[in-house]
Amino acid sequence: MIRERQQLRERLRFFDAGIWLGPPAGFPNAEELPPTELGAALRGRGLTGGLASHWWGKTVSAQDGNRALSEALDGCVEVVFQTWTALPLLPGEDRPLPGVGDLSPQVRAVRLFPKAHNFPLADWCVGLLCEWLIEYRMPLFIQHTETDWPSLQQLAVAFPALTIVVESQVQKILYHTRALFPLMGACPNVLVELSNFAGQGFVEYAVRQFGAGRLIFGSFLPVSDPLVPIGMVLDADISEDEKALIAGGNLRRLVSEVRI
Amino acid sequence: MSIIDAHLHIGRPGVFFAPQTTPEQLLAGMDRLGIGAAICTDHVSIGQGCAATLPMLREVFERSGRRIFYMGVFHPGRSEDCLQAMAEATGWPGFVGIKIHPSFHRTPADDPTYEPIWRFAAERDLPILTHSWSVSDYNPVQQLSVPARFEKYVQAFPAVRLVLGHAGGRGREQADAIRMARDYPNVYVDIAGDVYCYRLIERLAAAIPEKVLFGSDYPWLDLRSNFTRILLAEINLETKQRMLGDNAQVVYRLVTAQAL
Repeated sequence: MIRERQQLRERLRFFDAGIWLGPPAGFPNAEELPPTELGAALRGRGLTGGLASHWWGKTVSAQDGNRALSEALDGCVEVVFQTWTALPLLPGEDRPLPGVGDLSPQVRAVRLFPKAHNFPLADWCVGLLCEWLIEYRMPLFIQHTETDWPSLQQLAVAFPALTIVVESQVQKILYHTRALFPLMGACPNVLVELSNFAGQGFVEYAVRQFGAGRLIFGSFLPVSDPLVPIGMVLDADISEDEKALIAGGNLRRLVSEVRI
Repeated sequence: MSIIDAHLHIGRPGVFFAPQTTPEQLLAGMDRLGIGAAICTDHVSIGQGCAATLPMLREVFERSGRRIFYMGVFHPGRSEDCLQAMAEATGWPGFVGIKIHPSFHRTPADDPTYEPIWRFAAERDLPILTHSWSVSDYNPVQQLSVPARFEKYVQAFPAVRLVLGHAGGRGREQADAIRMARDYPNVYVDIAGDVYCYRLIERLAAAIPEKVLFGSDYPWLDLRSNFTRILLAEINLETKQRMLGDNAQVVYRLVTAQAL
């Protein structure tokens, strides 16, 4: 029972969209993951790498978070790319920001915090940024608690070539399924991240309704335990090919398609 | 060893779309994972108390091949009706204890209205499972169920086995749940719900290995979200067996036949 799961975990090569560096905010039991311990933490849970973010991108400023993330991962030997925090391209703010000046080739995704950073997730505000993201084939990550469902729907419709990954943090996606699933049905460019998408049968329902290509593995390490979403995939009632897509195939494809 | 899911529900939650909610779907999920037995309450009882629901739960128990055991929900606003129903059910096949939910019932856990159910449990040697959680800035009623509020009755009724459901939640009060389980012989915790804190299983295994019960909170959360997490945790096999079934046997005194 245990060994079978360990072997399957190894075969599926989990690749994590939700690695967080810096001091966690709002989770009193969570401890900061030092960059020097990142590799051991990933291997300890059977993860092969992924996308890292920095808490300062939310709690201090986009620029401080991006700079801190780059410094934290400087010299990192793990297969860990960077998710930078973005802002609207107007009024035009200092670097380092996505869409402003050169970008490190390690940056393979962007996240917005409309509530924390006080701007609407609307075409007239983030449209220029979305066009830039499409040009560079850069996926947009957004925590569902940072916006509202009508705004997400309008953005997804306005920019159908933009890949939008709705993250199941910083609270679980549960009470939102009557909005999320219709959104996924209406907008093929909307994907969902798994770290707290843990309602009974959600994975199977999403795969059968929308396809395995719509789910992205994420852990929210070190706040949450990667073994939770790993278990959701290992024991899902879907094919192993579908599990492989969800575990890492989908995210690897998104990361590899970024024009750097 | 028989695996026991010691905290789940049957019926529609109402407040979100749940793809799987019936006893038959639950049994299919248990069979997929090798879970031998479960202990449930139903959503009608959570809302209204158990006065009218225990015969239905007994019928589910029989229909499940005596695998889905059940509890009576005590609603402090309907105390007499609940006590009468549970007095009748005591001794019925599959009836294994009492559930209380101070947050949902808007009654603090240390309120005098809970005294009759603690006395009832003591007189009949029945365990109590309670919702417990941490102080929450977005869900203020959770402060009615913080672990320390139960301490008065834990001390007054040392023969009553109390399970702090959700292990006190994800916040600072989780430490109180662990402390109480360590200090009081009659206090246990279950990990049902999205208490997905990184390496929590390892911390619980080190602190209170004989006091931790596996639970899922189905259908609010998937059976497998906590199940695989225990199986793959970096703890010894003996402790995994305790968490997955042995400790629940001690508390609820089930007789199950399914082997690991």
